Amino acid sequence: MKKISVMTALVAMMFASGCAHMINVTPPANTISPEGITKVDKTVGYYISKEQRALLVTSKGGGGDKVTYHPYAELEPTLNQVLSNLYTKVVPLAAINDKAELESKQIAYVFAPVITTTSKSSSALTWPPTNFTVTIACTAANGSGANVWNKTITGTGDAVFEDFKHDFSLAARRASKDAFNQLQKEIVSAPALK
Amino acid sequence: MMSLRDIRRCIFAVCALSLALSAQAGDTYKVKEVPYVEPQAPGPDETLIYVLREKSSFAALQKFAIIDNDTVVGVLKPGNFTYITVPSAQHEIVGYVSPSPLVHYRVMPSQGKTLYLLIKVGYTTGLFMEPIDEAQAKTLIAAFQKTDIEIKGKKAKMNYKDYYDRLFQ
Repeated sequence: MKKISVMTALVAMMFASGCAHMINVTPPANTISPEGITKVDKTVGYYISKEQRALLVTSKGGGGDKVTYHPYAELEPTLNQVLSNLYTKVVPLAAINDKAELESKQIAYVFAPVITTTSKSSSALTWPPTNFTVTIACTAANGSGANVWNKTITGTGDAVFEDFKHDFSLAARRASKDAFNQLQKEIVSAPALK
Repeated sequence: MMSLRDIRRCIFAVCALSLALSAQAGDTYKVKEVPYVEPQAPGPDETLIYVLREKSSFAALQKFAIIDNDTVVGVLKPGNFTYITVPSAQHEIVGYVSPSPLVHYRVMPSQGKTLYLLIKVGYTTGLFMEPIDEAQAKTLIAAFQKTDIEIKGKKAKMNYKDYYDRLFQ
């Protein structure tokens, strides 16, 4: 009986139509591994504006439904984690180019990501996305404000019913995991960011 | 001629009705609401984890078993919370409604820290577990009811840490 009730709950949630459903795009922290990385002994900052943190994105789900999420707010911990894997100290900054703050905190580089996403579903009957992409266009400036690096990477995530029934946000989280692992690799291999 | 959307609405209505009728108040773990006593601060090699379930009417009759890796540590109804103190390590905290886990969160090693996880269970507001800050957690804890289970240490069907590792490989 219990099994029936849960399956109906699941099915009811996934078949519910005409709505925007909230998902969460944060990948599990253990999927961004620091393994094999030697930290650079520098302090770095990152800048995400108030408006970016508050941004609520709505994109396609399955069966004509939509999904909503806060890409910057939900991916900020992952950006912080990636930078903490690479540098000895990471500081969130209130402004992108406040020279006094950069000097006082001895910030070597300031990272500024622009995050965009897409989603879709191959299912006509369930709303969780089956395909998701996360694109990060990231720039890094030095302590004087000069741009020293930029890169755009795209992570992709797919999920089928058998998997996403245990995590409705799965495709999105897989895409975020892919994107931030790529970002980590790109920063590690950038001579300008040593 | 019914559109696909109409068909989905019918399926949803049938499922919702069936959910209401079949919801069980099973008490496998002998859960009870208890007065909240603030736990001791975690030791230097420990992590204190609070798990709260938001108060929402969606699936309100469904209890969530809270599992730490492979062990059932609590049961939550809407507006309930529980806490556990664990050795500092990776822990997969899972919200499980038989026969499947529905929400999960990977706690990373956090020596001496207290973490607060909120299970969101909503029709449009989501079904996932996310960390919340202490201020928000304290407000909810003051309004929510602590629960405890009599049958402790019962093993889950599997180790969900391994399970979610595989899901994200």
